[in-house]
Amino acid sequence: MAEVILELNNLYKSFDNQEVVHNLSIKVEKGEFITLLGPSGCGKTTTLRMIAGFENPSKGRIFLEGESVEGIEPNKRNVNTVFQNYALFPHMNVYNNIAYSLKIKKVNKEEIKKRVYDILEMVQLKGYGKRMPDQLSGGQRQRVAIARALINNPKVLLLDEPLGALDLKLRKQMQQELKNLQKKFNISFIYVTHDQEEALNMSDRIAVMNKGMIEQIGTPREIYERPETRFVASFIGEANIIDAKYINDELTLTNVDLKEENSITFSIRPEDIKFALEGQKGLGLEVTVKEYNYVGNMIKIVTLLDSGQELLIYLYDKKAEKLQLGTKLWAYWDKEVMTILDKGAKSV
Amino acid sequence: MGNRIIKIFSKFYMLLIFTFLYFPIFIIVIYSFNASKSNVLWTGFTMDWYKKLLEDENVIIALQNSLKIAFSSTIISSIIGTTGAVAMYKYNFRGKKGIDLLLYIQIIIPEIIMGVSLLNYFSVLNMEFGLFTLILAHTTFCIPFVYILVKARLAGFNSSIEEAALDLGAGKFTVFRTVTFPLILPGIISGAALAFAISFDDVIINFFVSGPESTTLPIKIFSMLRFGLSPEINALCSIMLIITLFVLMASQSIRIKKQN
Amino acid sequence: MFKKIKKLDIFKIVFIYPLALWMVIFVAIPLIYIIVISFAQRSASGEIVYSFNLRNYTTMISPLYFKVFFDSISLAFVSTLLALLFGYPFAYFIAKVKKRWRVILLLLVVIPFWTNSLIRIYGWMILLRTEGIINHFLLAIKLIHEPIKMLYSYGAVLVGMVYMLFPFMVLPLYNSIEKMDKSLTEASKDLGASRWKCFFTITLPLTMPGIVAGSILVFVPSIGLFFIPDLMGGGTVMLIGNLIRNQFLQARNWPFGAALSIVMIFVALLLIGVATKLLGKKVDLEVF
Repeated sequence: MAEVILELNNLYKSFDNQEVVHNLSIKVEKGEFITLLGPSGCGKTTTLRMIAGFENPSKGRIFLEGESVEGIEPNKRNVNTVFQNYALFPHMNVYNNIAYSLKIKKVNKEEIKKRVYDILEMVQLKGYGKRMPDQLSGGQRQRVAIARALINNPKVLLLDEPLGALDLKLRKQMQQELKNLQKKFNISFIYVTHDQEEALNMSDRIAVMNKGMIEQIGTPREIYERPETRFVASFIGEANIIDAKYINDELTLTNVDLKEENSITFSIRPEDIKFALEGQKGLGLEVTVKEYNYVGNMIKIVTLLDSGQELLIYLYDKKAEKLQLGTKLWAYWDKEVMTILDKGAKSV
Repeated sequence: MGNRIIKIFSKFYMLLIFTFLYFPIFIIVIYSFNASKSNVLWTGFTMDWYKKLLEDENVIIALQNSLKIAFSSTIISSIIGTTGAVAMYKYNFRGKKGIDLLLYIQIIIPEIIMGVSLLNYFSVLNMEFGLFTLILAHTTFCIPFVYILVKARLAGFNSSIEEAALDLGAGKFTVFRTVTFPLILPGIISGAALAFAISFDDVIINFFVSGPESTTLPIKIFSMLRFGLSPEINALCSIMLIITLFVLMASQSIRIKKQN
Repeated sequence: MFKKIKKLDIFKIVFIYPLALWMVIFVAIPLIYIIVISFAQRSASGEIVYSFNLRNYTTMISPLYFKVFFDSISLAFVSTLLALLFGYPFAYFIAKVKKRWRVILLLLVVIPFWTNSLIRIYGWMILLRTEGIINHFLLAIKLIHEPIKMLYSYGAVLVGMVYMLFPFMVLPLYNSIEKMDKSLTEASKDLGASRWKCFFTITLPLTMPGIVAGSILVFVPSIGLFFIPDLMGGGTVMLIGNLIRNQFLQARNWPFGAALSIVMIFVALLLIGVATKLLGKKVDLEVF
């Protein structure tokens, strides 16, 4: 069992009678990269601020290295934050921004110099010490903000959607850099984002949040391939969420009333669905082609089930013959790739 | 914990400052109703001082003068300030920087300089000092205030609606009348109200540019103060207070009404 | 390439000229006149004689006038400092209040300002007199045995100045403080700064523009507000403003008064320029 460095116990937070965080509990391990993923307003930033000390929980406790941080001011917690807009001090140059916390701790000048230059090199900003924040590009400011926080060797680093303001290419590059930095420093990163691709790419574990609660925590693979709730299934990646019914071990779609026996709701990823033009192989459903779209790296086929629900299929074989609209297909898949979300009146 | 102490201290401090700000005015108004001449001992409620004041012909004349001057300079400075602000906002022309500088100078340099320069100017031009010179002077220092407030209103202005009006066939003056003017009206009203208050309350310029026949209220107060303190002054001050506050409150409510 | 015929833009003319003309006629020319007569002389009969000479200016180079200038500037400086010391916390606290209340509080700060300056001075005169309320109160609670002489003193003039110009300090300060990015103070605390450290290293430097603006708006008028020393100083305080007023309305030596005015503007602008350069400098401030 890895060492737990931060523990959130049954956290609640309300603002003006509106509950923003509801019974949230997480155990963060030492050296892990964990992401709080969710849509805006789900409470992820508030949770981060509670850890940093800028908000106090309405209920619940936070433990850092086993000790409660209740009542401890932000400037006394061994936790540092990388803010969404970087919050670089505009009236100080890069060197002084990064050195700020060390100066407060009254570290001696020589050591500050060494540590600042070391970290500047680590974030690839060697020689930028004298520049002012407004002379830097977005990506550079980002790195200064990270360096400024990391130079403290905090137990936990909190990152609040740090890459939001960057363009796509830069974002991908920074994602990799952040991952590398995290491994190098071996500090626990708690990362907040609404971008699921980012979360899947960077994290050791992801906590998917919705309306103040955690819907699921798991590794990226677990979250993607085994979504446990309807929300997680639809929020992560593209998913088909279908109501159907088993009849004699075969899946049949009728206008299923979920109160019926043998009815289920399941989710399945478009890329996991195969199809055949003739015959019925294995577990599947009959569909009709509605749209056939070439999007560059794959073909997106939108099909219709008998009940009127849509089933999205991804086809990667671009050489396949184009299908006419209205063609009837048998869409099928392996039992393992399908995740059952709700079982109806009786279990299967 | 520290947060709570700071919160309490901040409330206390603000209260202290507000007391500092309002106490003198409060005393003046309260004691204008005092039966005795004292500004300390309260002997009874009376409206005598107000009666005495309103029977004083000189005071009435001074009040009328101040009002005449304030109204006139407000109207003129509003027109000039508004048209000027619109022009400066829309156009670039030679001398634009110069006008900007002149407006800026008026705000930056002490009022006494303006007073003195106009005194000199009017006498070199052999003008008679009286209501007319006062109106000219007041208009001059009111213009920057109207200008700034209208300009601020224009800053948030979306000029594409003017372009849309032009595109639909309206002439420039029509565009101004039907599109621009209604939208900057709140700024004009604020500016006009401020100009009125400043003109009505002015002391320094009046000092230099008024004539023997054209005493204004502030000058009257000043001379009364020179003679010693008396509750009539309190009453006069209270009346001035009410007039100024009334104008400003009225303008605020007109402004709000227009915005809704 | 054909030449565009310039059509007369009547709209432009109607809108630009009123302001332009008025500014030139009533601001520019009078000021130029003042500069002109500052080089003139006053004849024995009180007329202005336009013979260019510097005597007005050279007269000022004397200990007497230096003292007056120095006194005026130091009074203005002290008033500004007091206004800043009392005004900054005030503006800061208002900026921290809930949004709804801020506008109301600011309005309350400005309302006294809408009353006539003389009224405000009069109010303080009543309060500070030896027979005034404050003395009465202190005597009544036996804190003092004799009334304190508060009016007609340097201190009284300071009170009058600060009271008169307080909103001019508070409003720019408030603007500057309110506009400051809150995440910067959070970041500094996140990095370990105590409340005071955070204030001195982050808040104060970043609100410097407001401090400079407020200081200028208080400093400049306080050099010229002659009626405050008149009424509250009781003649014990003689400043440039009083001097100028005397020259124009009593001694009738307008050229000399003009010269004094010019020097006054010059000194004021010089100090403003220096202060702005020093305080508003956009350098990497070594804040420690």
